[in-house]
Amino acid sequence: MSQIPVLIIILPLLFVPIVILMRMFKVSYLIVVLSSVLNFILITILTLDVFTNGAVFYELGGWPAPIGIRLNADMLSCLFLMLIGFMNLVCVISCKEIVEKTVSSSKVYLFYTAWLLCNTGFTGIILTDDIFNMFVFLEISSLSSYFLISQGNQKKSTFAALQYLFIGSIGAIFVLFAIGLLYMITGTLNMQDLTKQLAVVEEKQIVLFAIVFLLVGVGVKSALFPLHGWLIKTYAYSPSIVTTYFSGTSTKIGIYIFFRVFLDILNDIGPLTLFSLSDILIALSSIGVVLITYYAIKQTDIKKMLAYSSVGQLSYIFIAMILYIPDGITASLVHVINHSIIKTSLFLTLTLLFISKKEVLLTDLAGLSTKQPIITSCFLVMSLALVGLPLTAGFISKWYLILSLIQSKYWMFTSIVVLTSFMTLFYVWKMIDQVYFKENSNGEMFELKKHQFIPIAFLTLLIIYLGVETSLTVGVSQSIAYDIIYGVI
Amino acid sequence: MSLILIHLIFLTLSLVMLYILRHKSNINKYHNFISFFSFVISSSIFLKRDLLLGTKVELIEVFDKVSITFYLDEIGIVFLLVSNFLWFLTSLYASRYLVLNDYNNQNIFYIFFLFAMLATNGIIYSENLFTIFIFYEILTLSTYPLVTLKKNEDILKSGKKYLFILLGTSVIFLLPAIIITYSLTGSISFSDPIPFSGVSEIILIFTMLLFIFGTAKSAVMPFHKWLPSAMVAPTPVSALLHAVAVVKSGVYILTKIFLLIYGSSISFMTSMQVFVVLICYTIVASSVIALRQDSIKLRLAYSTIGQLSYILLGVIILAPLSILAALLHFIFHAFGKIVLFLSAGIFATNFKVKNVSEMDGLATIAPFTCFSMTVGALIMIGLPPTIGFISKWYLLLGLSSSEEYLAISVIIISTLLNAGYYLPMIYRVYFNDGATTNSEIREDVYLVTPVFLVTLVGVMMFFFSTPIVSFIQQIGYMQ
Amino acid sequence: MIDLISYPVVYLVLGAVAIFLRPKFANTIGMLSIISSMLCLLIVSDSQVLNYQIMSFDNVFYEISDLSFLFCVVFLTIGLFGKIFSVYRENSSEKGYVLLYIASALGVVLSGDFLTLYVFWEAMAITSTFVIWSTKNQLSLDSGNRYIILHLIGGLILLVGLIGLYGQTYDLTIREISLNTWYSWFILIGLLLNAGAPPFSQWIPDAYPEGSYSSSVFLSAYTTKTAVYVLIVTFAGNSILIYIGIYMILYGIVYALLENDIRRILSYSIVNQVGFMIVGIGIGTELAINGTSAHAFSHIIYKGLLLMSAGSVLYVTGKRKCTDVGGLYKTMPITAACGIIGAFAISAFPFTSGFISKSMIVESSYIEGLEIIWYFLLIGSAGVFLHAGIKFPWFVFFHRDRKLEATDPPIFMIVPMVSLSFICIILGIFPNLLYILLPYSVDYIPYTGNHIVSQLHLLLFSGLAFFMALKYLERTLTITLDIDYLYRRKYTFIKIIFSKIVSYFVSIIEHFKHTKINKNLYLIENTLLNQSSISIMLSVITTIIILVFLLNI
Repeated sequence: MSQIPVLIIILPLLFVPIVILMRMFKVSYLIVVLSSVLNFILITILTLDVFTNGAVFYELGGWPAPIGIRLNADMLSCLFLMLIGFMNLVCVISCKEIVEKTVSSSKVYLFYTAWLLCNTGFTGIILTDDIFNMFVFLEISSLSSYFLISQGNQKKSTFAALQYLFIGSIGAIFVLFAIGLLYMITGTLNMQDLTKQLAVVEEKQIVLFAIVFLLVGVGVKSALFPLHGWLIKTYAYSPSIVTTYFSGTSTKIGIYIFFRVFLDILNDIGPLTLFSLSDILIALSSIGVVLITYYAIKQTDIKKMLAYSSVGQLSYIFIAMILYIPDGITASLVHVINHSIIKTSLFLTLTLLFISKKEVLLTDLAGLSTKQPIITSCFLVMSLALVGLPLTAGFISKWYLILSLIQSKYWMFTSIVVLTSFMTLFYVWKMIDQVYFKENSNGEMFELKKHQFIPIAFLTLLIIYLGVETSLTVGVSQSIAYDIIYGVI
Repeated sequence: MSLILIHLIFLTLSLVMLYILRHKSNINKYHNFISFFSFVISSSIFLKRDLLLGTKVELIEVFDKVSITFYLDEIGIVFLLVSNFLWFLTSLYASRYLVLNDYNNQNIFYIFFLFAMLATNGIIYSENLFTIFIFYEILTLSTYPLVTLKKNEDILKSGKKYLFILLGTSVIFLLPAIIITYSLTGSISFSDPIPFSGVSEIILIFTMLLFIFGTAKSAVMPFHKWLPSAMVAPTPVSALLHAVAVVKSGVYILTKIFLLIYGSSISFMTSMQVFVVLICYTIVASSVIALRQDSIKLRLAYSTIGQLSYILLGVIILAPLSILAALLHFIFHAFGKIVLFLSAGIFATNFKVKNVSEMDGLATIAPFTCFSMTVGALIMIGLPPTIGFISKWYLLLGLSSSEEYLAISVIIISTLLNAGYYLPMIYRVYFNDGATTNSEIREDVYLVTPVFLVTLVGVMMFFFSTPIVSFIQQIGYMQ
Repeated sequence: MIDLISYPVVYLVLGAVAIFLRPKFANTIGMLSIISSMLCLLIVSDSQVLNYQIMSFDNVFYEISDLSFLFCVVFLTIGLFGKIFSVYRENSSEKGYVLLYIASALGVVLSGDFLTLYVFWEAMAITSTFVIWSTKNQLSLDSGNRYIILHLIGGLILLVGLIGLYGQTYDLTIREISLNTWYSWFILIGLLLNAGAPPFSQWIPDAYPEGSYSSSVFLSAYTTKTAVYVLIVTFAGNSILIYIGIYMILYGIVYALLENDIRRILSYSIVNQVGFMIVGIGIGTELAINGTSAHAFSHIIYKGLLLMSAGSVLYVTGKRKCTDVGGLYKTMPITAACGIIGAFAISAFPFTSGFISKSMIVESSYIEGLEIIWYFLLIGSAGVFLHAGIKFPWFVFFHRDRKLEATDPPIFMIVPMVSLSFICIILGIFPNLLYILLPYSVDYIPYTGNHIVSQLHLLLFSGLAFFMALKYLERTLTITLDIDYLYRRKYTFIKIIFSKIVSYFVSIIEHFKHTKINKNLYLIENTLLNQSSISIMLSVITTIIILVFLLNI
């Protein structure tokens, strides 16, 4: 029982050699599924434990902190952990045919290996209590994701992976630099310890540098404006299942790192208010959202359009987080969950409809309503959730976002956020327009098997459920928010 | 189980049933039955209103203190009866209309018509702003397929404009307004409102402006363009939805917000003139634009915009008599406008007449329709002895007791402008001889009967106006 | 509800509905309904009160006083004769509208409270517009449009006044109103507009001639006289009305002299005669009110007669202008004779009804010591003979013979003309027949030697003046410019300016199409946000921070 935190991280790692050695992709697929299911079960058990009993600590090798590496599972981690585990499970269940058709058959087992490693990296980042360890897992996940991206069947996939490699590495260097600075000031790498030490540090300038480096580095990872350029190409040219997986997870990991560092470690200093960074950041993000949404409207490639949309939604999360009021943090956490679900479901639908297609243009969606009516209704619900219509999960996050903006009295940014959510209607409309009102002229059939309806339908129902019964998402986020602002995590 | 919930569940189940039966050939019969039963339920709710007024039915609590709740109050009863009665008659009309005009996807029409009326009833029963927002959006979305029933290029363009203006204004203005209200007072409920305290006037005015612009369904300029765009819809849609259900729900929402949520907070504000000016501008501008329209439906659409602002004017002034006038006009305008639209539909169907300039001499071949149209036009102008005069009388009384002289002169000017664009219609059908005078085509009996019935009810209401007036006067908001 | 049987208006409304349902029997139905309405009026005793509740007011529908009885009698009389006159008219819906028009006029006169009055007032405006439009030509469309807009404006002004009255006093029964509050002025203006007071008198000559040959008879009788009735009841004795009336008298004379269209002459003469009535109301004494009521009675009769003869000319020859007709006394003798009798009546020749009624008004001004008013009234009386008494019959039936093909009109058009001339003369000979109906007791004797002689003096000299100035009074084709020039011409000018402004704004908006903005935004995305620039940016930031850091250590 008490080994669960480390098991969550190590389990995929344990399966990696088996996958490498057994090169038959059927077996690798089964192993990956097994690993994901087990992982999810373990995560669930851990979450239930944390919710009832409070935070769980695990010291690796029995070495006490701050000397050893400790794993820390508290409510914030469990939230993200559940999210990652669930997304992983959903993507893995549906990915068989896609991987067979897009990835070259000699590389399939390597693909699954990288997938497992990525999984390890993500869970590691979340669970660890040591800041350098976090960097290590960050690198693991980044390296595996570079590989995953490059497996797309388009000419530009390699290029996209390379671009991500360059930018991601620069970001990682920045993060490393920041960690180094913090170590230099405080002499410890353990997060709990860092919190205590930073509270009493005197040279605030160095902390500022560390913060800025961290901001830029993690900003690259979570695709904040203007550091978002890699995301567009990545989402467009990687294999569809990878896009589906990353849309729900990788950028959220960046947000998690933000939460950890800014709202947990540096909480007592209040970095954002201290150096009035928050106003600058909010202004930057708001301008970013407007530009991004505008670009999204102009796209003809659906994946790029949804990628821009993701960047915009991430900016919303970021803005809400910076506001530093209970409703704001609630909003950002709720939107993390809701946006992951919505984006993953959208990408999943696209993936399953166009399994082997290289580039999915808007016009390829034409005539979907006559051919696949059930999928179309699910697609409609997801799109409406993206806009934020009531009775869907998107509305809940929008409600809290606007509420927090109004409570902080940032009127101009409220109007910008509201305007951009109206602008999302424009690009969502483009998709719906194609689906319902245009004829399919090139006669391509959509490839969809019966059992592939199930994840899509399940995700749609989840969106509607989370739009109405919010005690899970909002309740948990609210308690986390109150802990951050008023108490000790 | 509360009758309110029974009504809503009945409508939802019938929607599901219609969807299941959607490939059958004539589900219009089912639709007629459903609308009839809805009217029966509404009447029984009206008869049992003493038991039901003030009761609440809560479905789900979504956030803290924000839930999906239904209840019934007197303003709701008024809207309930009017909309369900007119729905029934319009569905009788629609079944014949769609057949005569060669619409080939009629089942979509019935399903979404039912959906739209379900949303309207949801709006009527909503107990708080959150519930009303949900059903407001559902109403927009469910009426969109009705507007674009015939899918050609122009209609899709108009439909896009319709959708974007309505969704856009509600997302940009209405949602922030609701959230501001929630954060300033802590409650967005109609039955237990918490008054604004310690809030500066500017913020109150700003929020009210957001509400007015956010409820674009009440067609206050400059967000009124969706209504002319919606006129590409088939006539039953234009008649019921865009003269009775959709636009009235916008006004209904604003009435409830002003009377219940703002209520006493704004009776002492001196800067209400902003709204009076805005609404007066809408009244005059819409009448002027209507003068220049040749298409019958567009003329009626702009007239609707002006008439809705009459209702809003009555509510905003907050004098007891003007609120009475607003609620009376709620009912009377619905009757008058629906008669006008349905008559226009008969002209378009039987005689292929879509413009005012083609209406010459129709009275000889379509006497009942033209009579209905004349009665409807007289109601709109507000001439006695039609019911339109009653609401105008009370409105003027209320305005003069509040000494709103600008508004009085605007009403007079707009009455003249209304006469200016309705009278040519009356003149042309009766006193001009046109190409259609000697033709053999006659008005269709099945189309005329519902219209004529509504006309008769409208005429009768003038003589039985006393019970209606006294019923509304009992509503407790006439401070 | 049962009480409605005793309400004369009901029979007319039912008759109108019957005409619409069975157009073939329009004539019979019309006459039947008027006769039954008359019977109802005569049988039902006076001071009946019919209460009804509308709009939560206790409305008093129906109250007969002596004055209203008088007006109802004359309305129904002219209605009956007008119906007989219009037998050959083929447009049956016009007959239905006429019945409704008469019904609304009766309703106004019989109403006991202002709300009912207002309802019937507007009904009168609408139904009379329908009557005008029934002529079905372009001229009647245009003038009907102007007519109804003007009447709606008047109705709205009246409405605002009534609202003010109710707001202040919460009492809407018809009663005397004193002219010292803002709303009473509004009511007065609303009433005066219907009566044809300046500056809005132009609608009478604009609209009335556009009716058909038979409907002008009806149009002339009701709207203006109901306004006179209401003015008697509400504003009697206000001296401002005297001056308004005098203006109307002179206005009517001047314009009628300038006019060419036969029925327009008669319409201006209506303004003139109503001016006399309004002066009488303004004077306000019992004698003056008697005079006004009597004058209203006789005016309706003889104006109807005059319009019938003009209508007959129109029916037979198709001509409506003085310059087109002349010398018809040979071919249309009976019409000419009736026309002459009517002309004498309007000029107040002794032994006609005009003599016994107009002189009451003049006499009352003299008794009140209003010398100047009295002079003006005399001038007016002279002028009446000039423009209506001589001009009309002279130019239409005598003067130049145009050798038109004409006969006397058919029998049903002759009978009412003869009957009306008969009534004019009978009333002239036996004035007490009329005096019984007057509201106040009458001890005025019209046939004094003094009076007869002075009247004949007046008439002879004005006749002399007419023939001496005949050269100048020759009819030419003229258009008389009146106040309607302002609202018929000027507004097109405003429309042009308005459309120019709108097009200017539209062109500005066209300018701001977003092609330029599009390009700029693409520039930003393609250069600023691609990966090389990000790397450069990051390196630059790093360098700067390192430098700052190093400098600070």
